[in-house]
Amino acid sequence: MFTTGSKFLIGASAVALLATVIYGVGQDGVLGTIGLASATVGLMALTALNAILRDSNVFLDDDAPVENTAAAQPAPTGSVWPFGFASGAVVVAVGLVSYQPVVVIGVVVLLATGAEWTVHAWAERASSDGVHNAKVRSRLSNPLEYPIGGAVALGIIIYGFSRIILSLGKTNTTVAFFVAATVVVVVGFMIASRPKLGSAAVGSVMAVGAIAVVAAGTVTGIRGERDIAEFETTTIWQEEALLHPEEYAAGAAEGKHPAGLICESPEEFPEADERASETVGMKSGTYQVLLSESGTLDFDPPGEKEAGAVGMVIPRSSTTNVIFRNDSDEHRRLSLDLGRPYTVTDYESEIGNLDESAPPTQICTTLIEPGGAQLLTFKAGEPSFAYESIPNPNGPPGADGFWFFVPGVDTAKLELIVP
Amino acid sequence: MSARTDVANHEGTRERAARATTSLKTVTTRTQGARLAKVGGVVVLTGLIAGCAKNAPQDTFQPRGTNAERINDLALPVFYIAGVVGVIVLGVIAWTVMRYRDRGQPIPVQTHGKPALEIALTILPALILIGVAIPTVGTVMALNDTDDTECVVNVTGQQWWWEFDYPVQDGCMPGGITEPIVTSGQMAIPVDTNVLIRGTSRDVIHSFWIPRLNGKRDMVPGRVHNLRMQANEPGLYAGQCAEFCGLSHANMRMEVAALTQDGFNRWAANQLEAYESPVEGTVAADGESAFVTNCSSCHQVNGLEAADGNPIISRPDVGVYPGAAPNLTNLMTRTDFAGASWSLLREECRKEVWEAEPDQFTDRYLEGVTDDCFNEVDLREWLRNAPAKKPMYADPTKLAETGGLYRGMPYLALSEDQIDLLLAYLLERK
Amino acid sequence: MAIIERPATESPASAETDDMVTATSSYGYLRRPVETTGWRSWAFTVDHKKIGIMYGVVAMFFFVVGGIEAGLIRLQLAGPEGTILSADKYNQMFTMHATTMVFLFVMPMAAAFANYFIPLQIGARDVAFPRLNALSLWLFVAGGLFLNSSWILGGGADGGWFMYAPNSDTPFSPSNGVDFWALGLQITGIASLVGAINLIVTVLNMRAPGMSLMKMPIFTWMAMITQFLLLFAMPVITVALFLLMFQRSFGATFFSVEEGADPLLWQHLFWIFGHPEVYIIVLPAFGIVSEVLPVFSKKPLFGYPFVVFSGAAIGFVGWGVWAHHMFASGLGPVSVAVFSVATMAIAVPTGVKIINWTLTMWGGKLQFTTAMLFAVGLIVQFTIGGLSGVTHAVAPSDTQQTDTYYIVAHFHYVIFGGGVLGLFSGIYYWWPKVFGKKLNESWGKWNFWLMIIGMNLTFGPMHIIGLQGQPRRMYVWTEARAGEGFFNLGMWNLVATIGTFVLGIGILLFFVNALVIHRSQPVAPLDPWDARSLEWLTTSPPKAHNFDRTPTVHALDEVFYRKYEDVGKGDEHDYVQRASLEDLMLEEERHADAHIHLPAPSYWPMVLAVSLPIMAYGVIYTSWLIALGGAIAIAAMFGWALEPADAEDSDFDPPAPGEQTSKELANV
Repeated sequence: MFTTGSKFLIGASAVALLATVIYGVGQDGVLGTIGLASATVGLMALTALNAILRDSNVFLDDDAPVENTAAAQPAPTGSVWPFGFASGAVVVAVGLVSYQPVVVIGVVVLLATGAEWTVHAWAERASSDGVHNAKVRSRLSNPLEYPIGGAVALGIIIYGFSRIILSLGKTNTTVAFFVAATVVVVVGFMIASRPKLGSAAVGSVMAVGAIAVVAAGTVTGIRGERDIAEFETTTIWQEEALLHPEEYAAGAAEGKHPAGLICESPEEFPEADERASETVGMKSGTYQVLLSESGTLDFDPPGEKEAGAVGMVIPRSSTTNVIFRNDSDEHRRLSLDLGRPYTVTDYESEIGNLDESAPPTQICTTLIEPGGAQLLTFKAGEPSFAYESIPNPNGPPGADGFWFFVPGVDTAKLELIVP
Repeated sequence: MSARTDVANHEGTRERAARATTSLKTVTTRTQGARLAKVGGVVVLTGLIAGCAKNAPQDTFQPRGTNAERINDLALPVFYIAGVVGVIVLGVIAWTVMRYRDRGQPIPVQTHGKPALEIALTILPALILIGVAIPTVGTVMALNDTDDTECVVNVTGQQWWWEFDYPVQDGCMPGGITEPIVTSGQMAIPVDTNVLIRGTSRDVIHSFWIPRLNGKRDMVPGRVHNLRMQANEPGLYAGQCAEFCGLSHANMRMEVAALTQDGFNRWAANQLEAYESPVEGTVAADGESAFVTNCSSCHQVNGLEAADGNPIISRPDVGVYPGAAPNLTNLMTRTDFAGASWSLLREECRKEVWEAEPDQFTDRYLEGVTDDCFNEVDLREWLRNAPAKKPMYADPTKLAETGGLYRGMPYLALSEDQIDLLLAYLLERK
Repeated sequence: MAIIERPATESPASAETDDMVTATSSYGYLRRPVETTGWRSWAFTVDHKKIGIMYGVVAMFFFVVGGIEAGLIRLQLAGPEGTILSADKYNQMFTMHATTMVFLFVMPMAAAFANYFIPLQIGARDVAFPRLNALSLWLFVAGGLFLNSSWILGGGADGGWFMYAPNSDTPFSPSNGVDFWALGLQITGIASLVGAINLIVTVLNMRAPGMSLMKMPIFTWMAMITQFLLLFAMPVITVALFLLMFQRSFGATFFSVEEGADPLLWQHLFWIFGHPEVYIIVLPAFGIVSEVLPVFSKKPLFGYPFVVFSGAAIGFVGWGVWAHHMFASGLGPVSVAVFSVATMAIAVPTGVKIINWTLTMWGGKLQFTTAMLFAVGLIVQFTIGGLSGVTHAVAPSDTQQTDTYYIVAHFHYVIFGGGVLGLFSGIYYWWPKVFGKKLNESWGKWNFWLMIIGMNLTFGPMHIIGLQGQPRRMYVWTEARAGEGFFNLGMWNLVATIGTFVLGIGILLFFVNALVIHRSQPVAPLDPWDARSLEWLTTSPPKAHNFDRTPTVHALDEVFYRKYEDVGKGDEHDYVQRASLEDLMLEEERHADAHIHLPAPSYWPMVLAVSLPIMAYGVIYTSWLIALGGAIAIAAMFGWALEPADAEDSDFDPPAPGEQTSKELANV
């Protein structure tokens, strides 16, 4: 009724089920229980599949080797799995006294080699014929070994390569990529030009390459990545100041960051401003806003700028991209003040009523180095004439409406007109 | 089998002899052939031209501005070359098919090719194409040159209408534009002026295309694209959104009204005139309050004030997904509405405007929608149930993906009385 | 490799003992299927010929579906302000018409020919990976049905087959149509990719002895170039579809303008795939007519190397012209100029093909069978399409023409004229090879002429409609913009609609011919057309193992040179028939290979193919279905890997003494 393989898998399922129950009741651990339950389900599925496929054993009808039973059992063949299993145990032990990830690696090695060992041992009992037994073993193991092994090998190489790339600087990364690509092409070309080359030679070239990548990856991985800042934007700082004013003020008092809104501050904010030059968005078909050396702000639309323009005119509600280019000698940011929003409680009756105490709608770039550029994306849902009588402190004295400005440069003002 | 061979051989020699005599004929027909090809090419193209519609408003072969003319001057020769090449190639094919059809001739020589001939026949089309490529590059560059701009208009596409903003500038007219002008559906430009369109979109990609004035240019959200516009003579030039933009793509039209310089000045002055409330007690005065109640949350009428004296600012961004609706301050200065899909003029008046002679067009156009010419029918239907007239995503039950925001004008459930009031009010918006 | 062969000299007895482990009877519960008759013999087959036929049948089904969609579109546009379809339905209709015709008709129809004839033309017994071949077929069927199931699940995709962002995003296309589109095309994309790899390996590794690349039949060449194009184009569209799927289903922002994205990204991705796709569509048809013209001209293909290299040149340059679909998109003038010139450059190798076809006929002995008529029709119609293509390679001119009906006219002359006519030519030419009987020639000629007239009536007026300013993809057109006079755009729109129905009747005649008239046709001789290439060196229909003896190739047009001998002296050539194909076949059977082994059928390709649409439904509706589909997929992969290597009795034994041939047994 049950084939040898099924028996093995039934046993494994039962053990997993038991472990699930014990762990689930005894440890109260949700994650572990889920893991064990998954293992149980997986093993059961494999059991069912294997039962249906009758060990997927094409050689089942091959009676001759089987008939010579236990008496004729051959001596066990050499096996690498006990060694692997022991190594796994050592890794676990090392991990317990050092880093937790090492324990995980050890456990994985233990499980993998344990499974392989079990299958190997099971296959050796299949018949008296060693060749046949090897076939039986590979039929069960290879469909798992090849994809998993391949994925792991590929993963290690990719991970190693990523460590190398991450440890190099911006320019070196490009060079490294270029060199790697060239090496691949040249080696590939050399191999292709020698069709008679044996697979051993090709294999050893590949192996050398893989070892080189993994070794370099290990070294650079240990040495650490180049400095890559956390993703932090001006918007986050702006929101932080407006939504949590007390914490924000406390942070400023401790000297963690400058006081005041980031969009109104010429000072450098941690994180957001440090990575300024890394976030340049280069696009075509956008407006440019230029801060000149003399401290004036001017805009340059795609195509020709209209003669006698008093401000930059953009349509209502349309997403607008502006490239800010800093031609001054200082680090500067471009900010846009879109006025104080309406308090729309009852929509129709409140038309035209502005809440002057509300915080301003502002958006800004990070601090841009002299000669640098950055993209600012925004949308103005309301027309600027709705703000006609509302003073905008960031515009020139007495101004209202929407204004581009550069904190720290009083002369740099540019009106944004939304008709 | 040998008997068969003999017959074949015999036929073969006869055929060879025949070919020797026909080869002379081939030489003579070759020169005739070239002439025939030219004549044929002309005939084919004349046939095509004769088969064309008259006065199609979007005909690409009737340029009325320098940019479209430049394209036409490049395209026409290419069409002629293509026509001649086509007639030659198809002629040769036809001749081959007739001449070499199976008339019992022997199995031909198994020639695998003549490299010299083939190289020659590869180089020949290459040369023709190089001849086409050089002026093409020149024209591409010329059509993208913006140095000669005299007037700038911001164009914005939205599902399914176009908005035109005239920024404050010294250009466009003597004295320049002093305050931004906003209009939709119909763009007014002065004739003989190099207008630069600076276009974008609020939602999906649209394409601005006035065939008689220039080729098309996609208007892409988040990007600003330029397009040159210039008209040689006053007139109304039809256009159509040319990039598929969703449900009502077919109903997204636009027109360019080219006016004399004087006419454009009058047009601009009219657009900036201060708002005049309807006279107290008239139907239109009641219409104003109906408009404030039903329409002003999305449609801006500049100068309209609430009871408390505050200006009424429309907030289409609160109710409409792309965030805008046509500005209706001067609705009746345009001749159509709803993405230029329906006329505000009765048919006979519409014809008058469209067919007006260039020297009379400006005055006729600036009359706007007079009481006599007003086409009430379509506008009434529109107010009664807009999404039934023009397919729009305005079903309130299907707005989950836009967070409850409409795309297009919803059904407002207005009563016929309300519609009467609104029509009276709107008819005064000029 | 799937096919294991032993030298004929080896005696069967020694072969038996040689192999210690031999399959005989039992294989566990899931042995490999062995049926040679009934539906199972088709559903689980790995025979490239059966798979080819099924590709063709399913593609033809989708051809009808796409044709009905086209008919509805033309009915809607027959008059102004049409009311047959709503705006929404119309948008779905033209989107699905293009998608169906491109992905579910022309591509799989070309795959049908490639599958059936590549192994035959190169003298192989099957493709390199027979089970993968079955997987390709069933994935295509699964993807096609999945895509079309959107009709009953809330409507088809409505963004146009180019599916420009951001119009394809959920706010603008809230129904599930685009999801079905993105997922369905990913499934058929896997089918194309798997098929491409399979056929490339087949062509490069499994050619008969003596067949160098430059002795390879031209159809195989063109089909192989097509597979390379697929191999590189499919990943690009898959990436684009992936981005779209994540944008729509998982809240990604690849095309969200407010987040700073640039919607032109989609256009670049789409057209980097989309332009090579044009060549994927036409190159197989070019290959077919390059086979048909020499046969019915009684001359070799003129300038074979030129045709091969121009095909390869198209394959390369085709990657550098995608932006000519974007001349109006607002690229800078420099890009526009560069792509404009590159586009003109690609006209040269295309022109070379037309010249070579004409010169193939020049000096020939032309027999106007239906297949030949379709081939000549292709040359003529494609020439027109090519020339109108040159007019919009000129970028400024294109800004007036793009997105108008002129473009619709152009690409239908290219795809219908240059692609579909070629496929029909191939159908008529190879029908007796596949089914043993010719299609009726007089029905065929009616079919041809009605299609040609119908096509020119439909697409010819669109040149005028487009140049006079009617944009595409409009669910209604209005009289206000249609012009005046007898020849106004309304009249031409009506003509185009009438033409569609003439075309439809022409295609209907084909189905009558193939399904009804065909039954009473006499059995065709082995060599009905006096053909020239290797696929004719076997029975019609071919036996399961294709060739009794693996042929050795000495020349391009191998079969012609086996039949004919040049008895002329010096420069005088005279070709005399020395042998008929029947003679050649007898010779082949006398030297049949011993112990031919064919791959056994399998259940798993079909099971694996079924799992993907289940997962795709899961992406749209509920993730439980993803789990279910995933479980089926894993089970299928394991079943595939673990299933027995072989079925019972899949070997063909050598002929018994005294028997003419025992291979008839295998002729199932």
